[in-house]
Formats: sequence, structure tokens, C-alpha cells
Amino acid sequence: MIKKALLTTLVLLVFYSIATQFINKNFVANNMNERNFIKADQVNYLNLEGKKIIVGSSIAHRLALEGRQDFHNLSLEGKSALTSMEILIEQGIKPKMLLIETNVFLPIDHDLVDYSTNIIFSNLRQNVPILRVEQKPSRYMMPIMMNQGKLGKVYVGLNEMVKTVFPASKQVSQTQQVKNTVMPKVNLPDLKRQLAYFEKQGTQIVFFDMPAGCNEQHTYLAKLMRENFPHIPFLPTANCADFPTSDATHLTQESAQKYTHFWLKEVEKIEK
Amino acid sequence: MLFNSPQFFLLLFVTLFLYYLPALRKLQIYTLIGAGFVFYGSHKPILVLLLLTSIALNIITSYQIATQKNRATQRLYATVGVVLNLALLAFFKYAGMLSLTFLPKESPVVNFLTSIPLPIGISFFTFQGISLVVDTFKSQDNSLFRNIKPTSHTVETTLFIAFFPHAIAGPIVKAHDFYPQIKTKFFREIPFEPAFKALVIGFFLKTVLADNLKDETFWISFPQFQGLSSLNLIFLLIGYSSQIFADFAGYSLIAIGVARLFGYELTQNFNFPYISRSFAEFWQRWHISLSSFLREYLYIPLGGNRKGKFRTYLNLMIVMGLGGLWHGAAWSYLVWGMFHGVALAIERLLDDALKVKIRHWSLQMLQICFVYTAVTLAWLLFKLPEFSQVIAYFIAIAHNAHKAVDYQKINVVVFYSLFVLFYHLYYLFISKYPQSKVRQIEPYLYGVCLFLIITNSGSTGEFIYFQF
Repeated sequence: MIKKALLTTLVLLVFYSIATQFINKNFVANNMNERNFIKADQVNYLNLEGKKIIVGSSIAHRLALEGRQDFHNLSLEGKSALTSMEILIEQGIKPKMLLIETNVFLPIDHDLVDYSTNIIFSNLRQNVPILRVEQKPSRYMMPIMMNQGKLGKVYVGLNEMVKTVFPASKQVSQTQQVKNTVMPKVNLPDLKRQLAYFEKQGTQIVFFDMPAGCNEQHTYLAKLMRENFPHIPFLPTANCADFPTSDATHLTQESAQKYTHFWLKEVEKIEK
Repeated sequence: MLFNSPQFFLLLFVTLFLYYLPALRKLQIYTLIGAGFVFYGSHKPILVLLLLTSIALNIITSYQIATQKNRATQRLYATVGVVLNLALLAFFKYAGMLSLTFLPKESPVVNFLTSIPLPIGISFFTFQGISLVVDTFKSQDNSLFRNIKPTSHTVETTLFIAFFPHAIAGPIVKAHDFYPQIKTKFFREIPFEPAFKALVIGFFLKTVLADNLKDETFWISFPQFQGLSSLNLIFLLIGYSSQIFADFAGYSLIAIGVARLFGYELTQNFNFPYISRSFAEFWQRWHISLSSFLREYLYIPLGGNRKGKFRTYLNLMIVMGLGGLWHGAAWSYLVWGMFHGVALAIERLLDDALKVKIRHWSLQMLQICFVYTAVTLAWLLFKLPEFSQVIAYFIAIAHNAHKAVDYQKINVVVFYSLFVLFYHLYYLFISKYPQSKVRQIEPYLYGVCLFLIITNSGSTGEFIYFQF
């Protein structure tokens, strides 16, 4: 029984390795965690030396940089620039320019850093692509499930049922309407250590804050960075009211494109 | 150290090698004890001292019970043993919660008590200690132990509590089930096939289902869930129901599989709970080792169902309430336990009053759906730390029906929950047709599971029950 099971696994692994060569790889990740793991893993096999790398959170993840080969967006959703920079440091990558989003400074996610930098497993993933998150079989299954149509119709039907059950629907107060009274703490020693590393490598460092719902916390953090690192240039802050968000934090697709246009112009101005 | 971490596999292989090495055969128990301390200490080395304290108090009290001739003295030692075990649990787990409830928040006592970290697995090894003390007291002829010499009793009790497959999150092993298994083991006696099956299904449930679902059910957190549509919120609940089952049943199966590799058989902890037609049946199928512990060491000593109907209902509520609180130091766990207690009491009341047996399959399916829905709704008390947030979740379901639906989130939940559904349906089918030819494809199904473990595991996440 064990032999049969192991043989089946082996056959499936070989078949899947071959099949993935011919499957369209442009399927989106299932969720933000998968996107983070894919990004953290790509640092191992994409050549990022000499590129302009953006580090930050889900807010900077929205930057619309498709087609710009000179940029690489390593912004991690639900994380912050601290985790992205730690991955770059552990991998020994020297970017030409490091653009640091200052809206959020969550602590370093060491699990994600370990995932990206563990020598044995990252090498294994580099040489056996089917072990990468971006090649999980479920990534191929989900769009197939959705595009079959029938399941989509079932979901829509269910949603209509829910609307019938709860007809007097009104939105409850959401996160964005909560006034931020407590200002976030930043692990400044970690940030100083990371910035010192990149400065030593000769990387040009630039701060920027994204327009993200005119949040007081973001303004506070931008001020904190300016005070603590006065020698590091800061891109001009855009008027947040000009860039609508989908949830008071993240830019809509249109806003993101509009802001990216503004942002790229400012980066060009500051580039050495 | 997680079961799905490289460090664990290293520990497992080194321990297995040393354990079955003929030259070290006489030291088998010591090898397992050593591995147990490495495993436990890998989380926070200092907490090994707490584990040692628990072991020491149980060795002393159980030894005294076993060697004293006077029944009253035995009873005294048994009481001391149980009280000390409970005191240890109360101090490390509940002192913070109680102080926050009854003392002013700024008080230095509260600051001190809430700063005590919760030692991993304390609820599990404390209950095992209680089981040892009570079982020793019950077995008046000392039939529980091979011999009751101080050295062997110390070694065997240390193994009983620090046996690493179950040390952190169960199954809760009772002394009378474990001690008779302590003897020299041989490599040729390893039940490879049952161990392989338990390990493959265990890892599949944990790494493929629970770890992938966790990335979606992450949205069941305040205030993030408020931005989601009603349909998303409903499916997230289904997803969490699948996740918590896959996570804990997966852990238990891995523990059982690993224990089998060392020649030990642990109690079955899950028996397809989501096909239960009643709450009573659910508790015979979910976390079996805990429910049987509560029945044996709490419900029956309280009088069980022998002291009239009112006492039966009251006992059910007490047992389930305390069982709920055992899971975590928060009042929402008590509410969760009481919810199940009330459900069990009402169910028993209806059973006694109506005495109707439902035989038609469609009505039976309806019963399964009802129990599943109620159990799933109650899991929200597990996921959200505050009761007010649970209420907010239900309000959001009622108010967000017209928000845009994120179908991708639903898709992920449906995709992984279908495996849980299939797992239960397959069991139902096999139970009804045990000789079916379908069984011939089982090896290939295990092969597919192994393939998915390798290629489709989610990001490593702690086991949900580690927090208890």
C-alpha cells in the first residue's frame, strides 16, 4: 500500500513538472499571503542587482509599474518596508535605489524572511519550480472553477438569497471611519540598522508616503521619518483628497495609475 | 517546534535512529524523554522548568498514593495532587483573566499577573497529571504500574507527561491507557501502514487544508470583517469551521502517527465530527480525548445522570462550561462551553419528552445540517477574542448584504472545504459499504494527498490548539 502511494506521488510530481511548462502562468495568487510568499521567493531567482526597488506595505503594492523593467515592487501586503528590506539584506542584494514607503512600519515578519532566505529550501525551490508557491496546483484550479460559469451562477444566486433575507441592508461603521487616536510605534533601531546597511552599499535611499485616505497615522510616520533621518530625501507628498481609495487606505485602480504617474516624475527628478 | 517544521523532522529521525539502535535498546525510554524535553524546550527553554515541576508533583503524589496503605492517606495525596495540578493551571492560565475581571486595571497585581506568558501545552499536561493521580487512586492494587519502585516510577511518569507526540496539544492520554504500553519496542513491530496513513492524512489536513484556509479566515478579525459582504462573511465561517477541524484533527493524526513509529498507540481524537446528528454525538466525535476525560473525571464524579433530571442538566452545563474555559482564559470560551451545555441539555430534554427515533435519511441530513450550522456559528467565539466582536460579526452579516462580493475569497473557502466534505462523505460511504471496491483506490488517494502536501501546502502556521 505504501509503495503504491509513493509511486503515485512520484508519477504525479513528474507529470505536474512537465505539465506546468505548458500551462499559462499568468494566474493570480489566491490571496495576499500567497502574493507575499511569491514576492519573497522571487528575490532568489530574479536579478534585482542595480534595480530601483520599492519596499513597503499593501499601500505601495498598488503602484502601477507594469512594463517598467527598471523597477521592482517588493511591497508586502499586511507587512511593511522593514520585512522587505530584511529580505534584501539577508540575500545580500544591492539595489541602485531603494524607495521606502513610510505609511506603515509593522515589525519584521521573520517567518517570511526565513522562508525567503533559508539556503536549503530556497535552493530547492529554485531548482524544482513545482515547489514554489506560484506553482501551487490550487492556483490553476481556482480560475478554472470560477470560469466554468456554473459555480459563479451558484454564488450569484446565493448572494441574491442573502439579500432577500437581509433586505434592509446598510453598511456598518467601518475601520476608515474610526478616528486614529493612538499613533503607531516604529522599531527605529531596526530601521536605522537597515538604512545604514544600504547606505554602506552605496544605494540611493528615498522615502515617500502614499496618499491613503488622509490618515493621521501616515502623516505622523512621515513626520517621524523626516525628523529621524533628515539626510534622506522625501518625495513630495501628494494631496490625499485628489486620490480616492477603495477602503480609505488603498488606492483604487484609477487613483493608483494617476498617482504612479506623479510618483514616477518625482523619482526621475530625485534620481542621481 | 511545529510538526511541519524541518527541525521537527530532524528531531524525529535522530530520535527514531537512537531509539531502535540495538546498542541503546535499554535506554529507549530515556531517548524519548530527552526528545520530549528538546521538543518542549524549543518553544521557550525556561518553560522546561514548569514541565519538570508538573512532572515532579505528579511523580511524588502518585507514588505516595500507590505506596500508602491507608485509604484516607491515599485520598489526601490524591486531593493534594489534583489541587496542585489545578493550581498550576489556574496560576499560569487564568490568573490574568480573573485579575482583569475583579481588580482595577491599573493595579500592580494585574500588571504582574497579565504579564505571565501562557506556557504552551499546559492545559494538556496538567490534565494528564490529574489523570495519573486519579487513576492511581482508583487502581487500589497498583495494577496500573509494572512495578512501583521509585526509579522506574519516576522514569515512566516523566515519559507519560513529556512524551513529545502528544505533549503540547494532545490527544490527552489517560494513565491507564499509557502505562501498560511502556515496554521495550522493536523496529520490526512498527505498524508502518497505520502510521503512514495517519501521518499522510494528518499532514494533508494541516498543511494543505488548514494552512491554506488560514490565509482566508484571517479576515475574521476585528475590524477587518466589517468591510466584507454578508455572503463573504457566511463563507468565511464555513471556512473557519473546516480550518479548525483540519488543524486539530490533523495535529492529532500526526501525533498518533508519530507515536506509532515509537510503538505507542494514542487515543483516537476525531471521528468525523461533522456528520453528527446531535450535539451529544458531536462530542463523541470531536476532541474525543477531552470529552472522555471530562466525562470520566468530572461528569461522573459530579453524579452524571444518576441524581435526577435537574442534576443531569446542571452537570452537563457545569462540565461543558468548564470544558469551554479549559480552552482559553477568556469569558467567550465559557460562553462557548455554556452554549454547548445548553444545547446538550435541551437535546436530552427533548429526547426524554419525545422519544422519537428519526429514520428517514432526509430528516437525518437535516439534523446533520442543523448541528453543523450551530457548531459552526459557535466557532466564532473561538476566533474572535471578545464577545462584542462576535455580535459585531453577526450585525455585519445582517447589514452588508449589498456590499460587493469577493468571489475569489469564496472560491478558496469552497475549494478547501470540499476536501473536508469529501473526507466525511467517504467515511460515511465506507462505513455503509466496507467491502466496496472503492477501497482499492485508497493507496492512490494517499498518493494524491502526498503530492498535494509537497506542492500545495499553505504557509506554515501554528496549530490553533497550541494556544490552549
